[in-house]
Amino acid sequence: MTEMDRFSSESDQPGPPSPDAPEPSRERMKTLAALADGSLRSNDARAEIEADPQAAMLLAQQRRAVELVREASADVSAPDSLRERLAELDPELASPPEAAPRWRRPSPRWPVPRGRGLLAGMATVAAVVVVVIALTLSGGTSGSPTVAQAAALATRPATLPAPAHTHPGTELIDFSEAGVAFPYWADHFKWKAVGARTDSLGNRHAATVFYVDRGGRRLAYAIVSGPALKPPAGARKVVRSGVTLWVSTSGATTIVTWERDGHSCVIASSDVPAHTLERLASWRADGSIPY
Amino acid sequence: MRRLDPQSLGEHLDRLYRAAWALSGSREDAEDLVQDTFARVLARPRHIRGESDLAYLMQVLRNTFLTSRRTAGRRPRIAATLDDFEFADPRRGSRPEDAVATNEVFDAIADLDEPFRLALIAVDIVGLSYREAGKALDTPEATVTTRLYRARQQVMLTLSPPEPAEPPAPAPAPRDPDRPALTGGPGRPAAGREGSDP
Repeated sequence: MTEMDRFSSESDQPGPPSPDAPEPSRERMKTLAALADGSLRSNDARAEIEADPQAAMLLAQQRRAVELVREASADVSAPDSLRERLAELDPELASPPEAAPRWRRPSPRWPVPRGRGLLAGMATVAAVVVVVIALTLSGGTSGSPTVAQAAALATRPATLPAPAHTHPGTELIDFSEAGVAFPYWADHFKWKAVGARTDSLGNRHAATVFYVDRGGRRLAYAIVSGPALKPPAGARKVVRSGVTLWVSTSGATTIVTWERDGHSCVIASSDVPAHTLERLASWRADGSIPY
Repeated sequence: MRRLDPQSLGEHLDRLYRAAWALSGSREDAEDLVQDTFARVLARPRHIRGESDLAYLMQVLRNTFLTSRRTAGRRPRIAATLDDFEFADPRRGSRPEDAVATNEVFDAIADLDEPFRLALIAVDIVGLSYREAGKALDTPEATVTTRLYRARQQVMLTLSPPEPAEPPAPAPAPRDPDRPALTGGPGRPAAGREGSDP
């Protein structure tokens, strides 16, 4: 299964461009291109495009292309063989890749630091929530939680109703922890928030939102207040769309943790494959989901 | 006017390698291209006027590519397959599905005509602003934007080609006056519905 197939199966994607369709005007092309990559953030321009179904479809295609290219690019680093060759030119050029977390690197155009930080913070929060819940369940000790403990939240029931979409045009729901809001996935991925809960974990606080897809699969997304948790020992590091994720398993549960705004976020599920969890965790909606 | 700090070049290595891969169409050629680019930059002090280091390096990369292509007569293309794909970062080596996706996307970009390929690489891979891309590519900013739009549409077309049109029905059934005009026949979607040809 290819990336395209996978993604198409998880969300309503724009149909492929028609080679016979007439091109929009040059001005419309500029608007579509700039809206798609975030260079243009005009609500008026966006509303004008969205009022025209054909233009809206073109915008969706542009956005999808941007997303595919950025995701593919994030998976590529200069190989060691090149670094060795460059070291012969200048030893300073042989520095290892990703010496600093990608989301903290300055970016010339994309709002990566803020977005990635928020996702990272959400991941951290989620991990903390899971940990806190696990600690509470195991007697409420005040020791440092672990990500594996935090992932246990996925098995707990919701105690709050499903948070509402903040408002059309945003990709967030009206529920947050430590100022980090949970994402709205219903339109893009067809994953709907169906409930939530909050927990105290020692001296930390955790919020969890439960999402369900059309096939009935369920996942828990937790955000934990306080400093980010350490990734689980042996977790696999994955960088998707510029977001550094740590993927591990605990029994049948797949756990993905990352940071948003310095807080841990944790997604855990026992019936959703890791690559889907990774995609959900790293989705920034062209920067509209702050990290 | 400021002098380019050679020690900062390493920070841009990954982005330039991605750009070189998309530009040349193969990882092997990308290594050569990046090495030649850095050798050119390091050959003498470089002074930059009002642009980012990355935009300047993209400009040098593009010029180096065009020079090497003229020298070679034609751009060499080596098709990468899943079998010969090796992740530079071994942490990704356990996910072959991403190797396929990355190759598909980079192949689609490499298949673009050069002006469109350069626009997409400068903006979507290297991350330059439209203005920086225009300067790096020696192309008006407005032209970069429209090329970028067309390049993205072509990439989408390559990665997700439209379904072949269904053959026309041999004999259209008499139209039911009570049926909406846009409703298709049995097994055929209504015109204008998602998935139908425009």
